[in-house]
Amino acid sequence: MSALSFEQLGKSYGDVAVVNDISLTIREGEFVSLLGPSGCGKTTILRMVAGLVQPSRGRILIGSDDVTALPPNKRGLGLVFQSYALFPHLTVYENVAFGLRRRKVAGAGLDKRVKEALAMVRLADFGQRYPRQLSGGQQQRVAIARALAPRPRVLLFDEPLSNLDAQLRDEMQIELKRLQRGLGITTLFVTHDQGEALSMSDRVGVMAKGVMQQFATPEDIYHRPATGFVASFIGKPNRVSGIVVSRAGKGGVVRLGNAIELPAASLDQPAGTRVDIIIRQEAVRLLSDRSEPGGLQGTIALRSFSGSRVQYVVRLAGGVELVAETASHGPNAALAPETPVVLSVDADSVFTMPSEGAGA
Amino acid sequence: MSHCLRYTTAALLTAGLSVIAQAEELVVGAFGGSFADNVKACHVAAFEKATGATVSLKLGNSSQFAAALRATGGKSDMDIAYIDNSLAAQTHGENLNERIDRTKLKNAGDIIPTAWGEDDSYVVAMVSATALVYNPKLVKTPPTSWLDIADPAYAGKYAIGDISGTAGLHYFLALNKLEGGTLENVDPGIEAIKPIAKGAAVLYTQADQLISLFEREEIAIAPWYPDRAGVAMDKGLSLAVAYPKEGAVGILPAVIIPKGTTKSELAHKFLDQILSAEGQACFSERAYIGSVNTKVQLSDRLKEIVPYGETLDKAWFVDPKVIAKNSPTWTRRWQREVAR
Amino acid sequence: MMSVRRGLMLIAPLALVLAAFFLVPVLMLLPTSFSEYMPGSGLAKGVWTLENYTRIVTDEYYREVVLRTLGLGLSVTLVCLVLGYPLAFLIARGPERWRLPLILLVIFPMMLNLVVRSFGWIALLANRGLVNNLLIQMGLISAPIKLMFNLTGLMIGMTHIYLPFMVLMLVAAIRNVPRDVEAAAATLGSSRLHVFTSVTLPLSAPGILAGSILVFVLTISALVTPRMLGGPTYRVMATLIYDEYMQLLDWPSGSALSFALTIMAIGIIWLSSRLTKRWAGMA
Repeated sequence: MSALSFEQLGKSYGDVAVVNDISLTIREGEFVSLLGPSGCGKTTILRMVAGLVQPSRGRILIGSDDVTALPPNKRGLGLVFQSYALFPHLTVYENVAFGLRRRKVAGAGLDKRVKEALAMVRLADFGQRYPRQLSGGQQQRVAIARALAPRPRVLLFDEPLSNLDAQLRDEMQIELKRLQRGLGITTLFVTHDQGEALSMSDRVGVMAKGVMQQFATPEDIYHRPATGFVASFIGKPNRVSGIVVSRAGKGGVVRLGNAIELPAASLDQPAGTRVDIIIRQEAVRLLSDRSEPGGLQGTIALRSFSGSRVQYVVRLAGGVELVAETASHGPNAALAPETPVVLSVDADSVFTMPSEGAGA
Repeated sequence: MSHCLRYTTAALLTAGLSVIAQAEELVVGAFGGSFADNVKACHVAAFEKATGATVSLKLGNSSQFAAALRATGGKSDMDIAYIDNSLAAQTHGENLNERIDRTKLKNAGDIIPTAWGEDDSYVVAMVSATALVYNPKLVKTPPTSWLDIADPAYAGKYAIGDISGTAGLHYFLALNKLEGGTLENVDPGIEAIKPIAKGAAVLYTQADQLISLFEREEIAIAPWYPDRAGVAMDKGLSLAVAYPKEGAVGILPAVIIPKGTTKSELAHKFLDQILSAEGQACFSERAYIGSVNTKVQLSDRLKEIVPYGETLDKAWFVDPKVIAKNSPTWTRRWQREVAR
Repeated sequence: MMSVRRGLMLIAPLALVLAAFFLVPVLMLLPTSFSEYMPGSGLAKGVWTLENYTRIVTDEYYREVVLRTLGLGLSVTLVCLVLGYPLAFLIARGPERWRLPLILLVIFPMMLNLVVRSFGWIALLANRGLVNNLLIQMGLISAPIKLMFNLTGLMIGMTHIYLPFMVLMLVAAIRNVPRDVEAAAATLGSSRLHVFTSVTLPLSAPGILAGSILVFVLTISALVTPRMLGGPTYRVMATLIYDEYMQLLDWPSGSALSFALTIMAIGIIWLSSRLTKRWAGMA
C-alpha cells in the first residue's frame, strides 16, 4: 500500500521549471532518498510534500488523502531540517513537546511520550537544557525526537546530516537507519551525499535539473545506472571527453582522446557525436598478465593510498589518463611510478553523456 | 598642488594673524531676532567705525547669559552683554558683574539717574513695558484695565504669558497688586490668575508665538510688549497698544560688563555707544522702545506706542532684586497652582 | 576568540570620548546636585543637602511630573510597538519590491529637523489648526478640541518622531528570525497565528527590547518636542530640568532631577531586559 505518492508533481517559478512533473509512489515503511546535486529540485519536492511550497501542477497523496491544498499544520508530517531549526527559546523537553501539545496531548500522556522520544535518540537526561547548550549532533537528535514524537505518518529529512562532521555523520546514519527500521515509519530523505543515500535507502531517486533520472534500489542505481548522468554522479567516475565511433545494436564503440577505442554495451548517442565518456574507477582493472587481449597499454603516473584502497593514475596512449582503483594489499598494491601496466575495462561499465565542453 | 595648498594656507594664516593683531574683537551677548539686527545697525556699526575693533555677537536670552556667566565663573567668554535688569541684579548678587566706571563714559551725564543699578553693577539701556495688545478688528472698545482680559466677551480668545516669560510674570504681579497682594504675599494674585490661565487659549512661552495667534485670529487680546507689537504692526498685523489705567509694568533691558573680561576699556566704549543719543534714538525708532538718554526726542508715532509721559509715569518698575530673589518661589507656585 | 586586551584596545577610543565628553561633565554635576541654591545670590558655599533629591519624592508636583514622564515613555513605547510591528513585519516579510519604498517612507520623517516636524504638528493640532478646522467645517464639533499642550498632542508628536527607530530595530529582528524554525512549528501543527505567537514573536524579542528601550529613553529625555507640544502646562522631566537650569537658575535642583531621570532610565532598562530575557528563554 502506498504511504506517499506524487502524481505529475511540478513546480515552476515564472518560466523556470525547478521540478518537472514527477510521479512517484513510496510504500508504507519504506526509506526513500532523493539524491542529486544542489539545485536539482529535490528540496523543492520535500518542501512541497511538507506544504511549505505550493506545487504549480500535480497532486500529493498521503495514504489515500489528497493533501495538495492542505496547509503544513494539517498534514501530520514530521520534518527534520539541515539547520536543525530547534526553538532556541524553549528547552529540549518543550521542543519535543511542541508538536504533541498542538495535538492536544497533555498531562501524563504528554510527559510519557516526550520522554519516550528523548530516550529513542538517547537524550533522556537533556530535557531541561536549551538547544544552544548542546553539540551539533545532539541538536540534530533533538530535532529528530521532536519530529518523531507526534508519530507522523511520514518523516521528511532535508539534508539532516550535512552540518555534522564526518565521523558523527557515519554514526548518525546507522542510528537513523536503526530508528527508522524499528519504528517502520515511511521516510523521505533528501541528500546530495551518495554514500548516505545508498547506505540508508530502500530505494533512491536520482535527480538532475528537476528531472527524475532513475528511481530504483541502491544496487540498481550503482550497478545499472539508467543514464550517463547517474553513472557520472554515483561512485568515483573517470570522465574523459571523446566521440562515438560507431553504433551496433544498443551499444557500439567510443574513442577516448584520439587513439584509444573501447566497446560500450549501451549508448544513447548516434555515431559521430562528441560525448563525455564515464568509466568508474572501480571498473578499471589493472591486469597482471600484460598479454591479455583488449588490454590498454600504459604507465603508472601517480599512486595514492587511502587505507583500504589504492588509486593509480595511469597514462595511456595519446596522453589520456584514467584512474584505476584496487585493493591496498595484493600483487598490484605497490607499483612504482613509470611501471608499465595494462588496463581492462568492461563494456558494461562504459557510459556516455552529452559533452559538457560542447554545450550539451 | 601640495605646494599651492601650502602657500595658500600660509597666506591665509598670515592674513588671519594680521587681522587679529590689528583689530581687537569684542564679544557682545545680545538677544536674537530683530533685536540683534537693531544692535548691529545702531550700536555695532558706529562702534566699529570709531574704534577699529570688530564685534562678534553671541546670541541668547537673559537667563542663558546669566547661566553662562555663572558657568564661566569670572572668566566670561563675553565682554559685555544685554540682559534683563532682574537677571542683572541676580548676577550682581552672585558677584559676577564688573562695576561700570561712569568716568569712562562721555554720555553718562545724559542718562536718567534711575537707570543705574546698585553699585553701578549694570545700567538700564532702554525702557519698555508689559501692556495690553489687542486686535482692533475684534475689540471695539479699547481695553482700559488688566481685568478686561477676563471680560466674558473674550472668553477663550485671549492669551497670557507663562511665568517663564517677562510678560507672564508682569501680568501676574500686576493682577496681584490689583487684588490687594504685595510682593511678599502673592496669594491674591495666584487666586486671581488661576481662572484666567485656565480659560486662556494659550499660555505662551515665546513672545513671537503671539504673532501667529493674532494673525489667525485665535486670540483678540493679550498682555504683551508694545515694542513687539510695533514691529508686528509694521509687518501689517492689525494690532493696537493699550496702557491699563492701573499702570503698565516696566521692562528695563540693561547692559552689564562681566567680571573677568580683558577688554574692559573697549567694553566701556561699546557701552558709551549704546547710551549715546544717536545710538538710543536709532534703537528707539527701529525697535519701538523707550530711551534712557534725556537728549533723545521721540517721534509722535513712537510716543503712542512706547511708555512715555503719563504712561511712563504710571508704570510700575518692580525692584529687580526682589524679582530675582522671589521668582523661583513664584515660578514653583505657578507651576503647581496655576499651570496644572 | 579575541583577547580581552585586544578588545579593550578596540573600544578605548570610544570609551575615552565618552569619558571626556559625557561621563566627566555628568560627574561634575554630582556635587552641584547636593548643594543649596539661594535665589538672588547663587549657590550657597560649603552647604550640603539632600533636599534636592528628597523633594522629588515628597513634592506632589515633582512626583506628578515624574509619573507623567514615565507614563508618557511607556505609552509612546507601547504605541510605537503596536503600530511598528505590523509595519516592520511587512517590510521584513512582504514582497521584495515594497521593501525599499516602505523603508524610505519610514525613514523620511527622520530627515526633517525635529523643530520643523514639531511645528508641523502645531500647525495641525492648534485650536485653529488643520484638524480642528476640518472637524468644525464638517460640523462634527462646534468648539475646537484641545489637541495640544496635553497628553494627546505629546503622544501624537512623540510617536511620530520615534516610530522609525522602533520600526528599524524590529525589521532587523524579524529578518533574523530563521524561517526554518517557523516552518518547523508549522509542520508540527501550528496555525499561522500560533507560529507567530509561539515562534516569531519570542524570537524577535531582542529587537522588541532594543526598540522599546531606545524609544523609551528617547521619549523620557526628549526636550524640544515636549517644549513645543506640551508647553508650560504639560511639563515632563526634561522640560522641568531645562526650566530649573535656564529659567530659575536653580542648578542644584536641575542636577538632582537629571540624576533622578538617568537612574530611572537605567533602572527601567535593567528591569525590562531581565523580563524580556526570561520571556525569550535567554536568561
